[in-house]
Amino acid sequence: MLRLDGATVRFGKRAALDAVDLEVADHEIVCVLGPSGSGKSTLLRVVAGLQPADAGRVLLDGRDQRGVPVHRRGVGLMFQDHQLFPQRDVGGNVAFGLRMRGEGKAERARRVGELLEMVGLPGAGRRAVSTLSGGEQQRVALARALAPRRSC
Amino acid sequence: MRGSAVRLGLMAAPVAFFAVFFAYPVTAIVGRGLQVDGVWRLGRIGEVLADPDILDVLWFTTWQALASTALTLLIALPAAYVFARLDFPGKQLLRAVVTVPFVLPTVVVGTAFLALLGRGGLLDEVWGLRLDTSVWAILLAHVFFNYAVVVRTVGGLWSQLDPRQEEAARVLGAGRFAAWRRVTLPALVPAVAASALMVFLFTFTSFGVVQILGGPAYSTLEVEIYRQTAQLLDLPTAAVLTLVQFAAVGAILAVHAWTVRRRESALKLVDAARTSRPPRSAGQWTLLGGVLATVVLLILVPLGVLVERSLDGPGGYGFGYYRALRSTGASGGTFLVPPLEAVWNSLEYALVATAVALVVGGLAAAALTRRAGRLVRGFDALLMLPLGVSAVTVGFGFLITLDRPPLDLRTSWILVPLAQALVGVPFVVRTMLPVLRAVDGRLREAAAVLGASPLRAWREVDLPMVRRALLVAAGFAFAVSLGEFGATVFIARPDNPTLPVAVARLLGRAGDLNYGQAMALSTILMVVCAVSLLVLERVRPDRSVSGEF
Repeated sequence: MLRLDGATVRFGKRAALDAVDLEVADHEIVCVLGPSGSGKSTLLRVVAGLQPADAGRVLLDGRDQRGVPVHRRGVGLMFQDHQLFPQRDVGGNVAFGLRMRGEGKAERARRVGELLEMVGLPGAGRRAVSTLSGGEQQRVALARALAPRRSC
Repeated sequence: MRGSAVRLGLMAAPVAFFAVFFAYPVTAIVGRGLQVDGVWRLGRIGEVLADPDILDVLWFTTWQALASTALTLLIALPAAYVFARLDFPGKQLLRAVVTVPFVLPTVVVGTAFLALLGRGGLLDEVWGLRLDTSVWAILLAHVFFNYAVVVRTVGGLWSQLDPRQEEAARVLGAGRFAAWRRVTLPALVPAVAASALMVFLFTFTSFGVVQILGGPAYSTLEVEIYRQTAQLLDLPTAAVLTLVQFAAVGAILAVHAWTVRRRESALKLVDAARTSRPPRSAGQWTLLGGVLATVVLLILVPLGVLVERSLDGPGGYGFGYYRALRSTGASGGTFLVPPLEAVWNSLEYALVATAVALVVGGLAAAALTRRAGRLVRGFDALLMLPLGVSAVTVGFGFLITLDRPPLDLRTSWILVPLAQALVGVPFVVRTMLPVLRAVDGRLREAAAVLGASPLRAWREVDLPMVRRALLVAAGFAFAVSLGEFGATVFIARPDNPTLPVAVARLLGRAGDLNYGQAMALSTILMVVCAVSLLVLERVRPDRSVSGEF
């Protein structure tokens, strides 16, 4: 479960997030809508720990995430422009989070195959990311974000 | 907060290195020149600077450096384009060829150009033309030297710029040239500025070339410092000139920092192998042809003359001079060991120097990557100073300071690679920095979200992207170490000479045999450099494999 208590982020005088309270239950799907510059990305960045909150708290499963660095939060995030690693092929991108968790080679290969199947790119593991179309990049980014989760 | 602590930590090792092996020796030798009985005599500075001869030297040093830099950019920038964007057979070989001049000892380059442009030289024989008494010989030799600096620094970045950025501009209505000027040029400016700065510093502090080709008419500050130190034994004047050179270089670096002011922005870097295409248009073929012709005339001809002289013995062409290198006897007591041993000494020293320069320069570049305040900018400038401070002063400074406790390195072999690494570090930093700064920070964020710690993210994201720049940096550091002369000549032990030192010793003695052996040894140095660089060009990251490395 994810909870935000009065999360506030200011850029200069402007508040991108102004005391945001939010609760998202497990398996719940929440859409955040708003015009450009209304703080949607900032909200996600605060949850992931990429943007420190000036005030308020972020709780994951009831635990306050203050002081927990980005890489230990176990949050999946898709970037707007995908940010695929240009030096790695598709499989290398999808497997990245699994490698960070120390998964073995066989398990990584299995999971990569599964996820590429799921996003409709079966067998694309060896392709260079620079050969992907925009939509394909997006699907690889999705697979990469989901890969470390046990349930999807 | 934590970021700045990390940065200070990264800076600590380079700062310590520079303090002990650069600031301390240079300060000591300047102090020795300007102190009498422990009292500073700063009046000397005014006296020396009022001397019209010294003013002439200062003026010549400045304008020939400006002219050399402009000429180098003019000739080398088209080549940077050709190497970055065009694909043609033999490209790797050609890249190694243009880098060779940069690593040749200045003394040898001077001699090669003398053989080409001087009395009885190639031009003299063919057209009766002599340039060795004109400033053109100096300028051409400087272009010969620094061609690779521009080609590799600018071309390296250019080859990694995404061509689709220009395509985007074309679609938006920009013409070919406008697209280049508005999109590519701004991205290249930092690299062009950095390479121009390097060329200016090299030519401003030029020593061997001017010593040989300048004759009595032309003299740079560095030549004058050497003359005052080694020939006239006038340490006070040499100390003042060292300070003047130091101040001038400091001013140049300040101007540079002010003009560039961190123009490196996050660029979209792509795999260099994907950006080059075989030439198609007539313009591209013309450029390629022009670059090939330049390389032949400017680089291959002088090197060819060098090889020709090494084979041209008294009894016709042969390997007589090379055979003579295997014994000590033939050179009449110039050497304690066969000159050929210098090859192994040089390789060992250069490898150690490269490792030191990569560690020190790599840490420094990593510390400089993140945008930061005045402290870091000052650190940036500090790293460039070894290029501007007289190598003669550094070498002599090593001799008089590192010979007593707590740091008695007088008898240690490490002294030579340390001095060489000092000159290598600025190259490492200058090559790494534009690429490091161009790595998109959000890629690191993406890695962090996927569970990579900051260190791991650096290893997984930054390192693969900068590996190419790291290789180029290693190549430069290795090359500079192999060719370093000004400082090494003071500190290399007689039984362990490096190649350039051995060449200079041979050139300093009369007789055809010594001259021929010097040419032969220079040819060996040239081949060693060419081979090392070719190996380096081969060691490329394997693109098909992802993940582990």
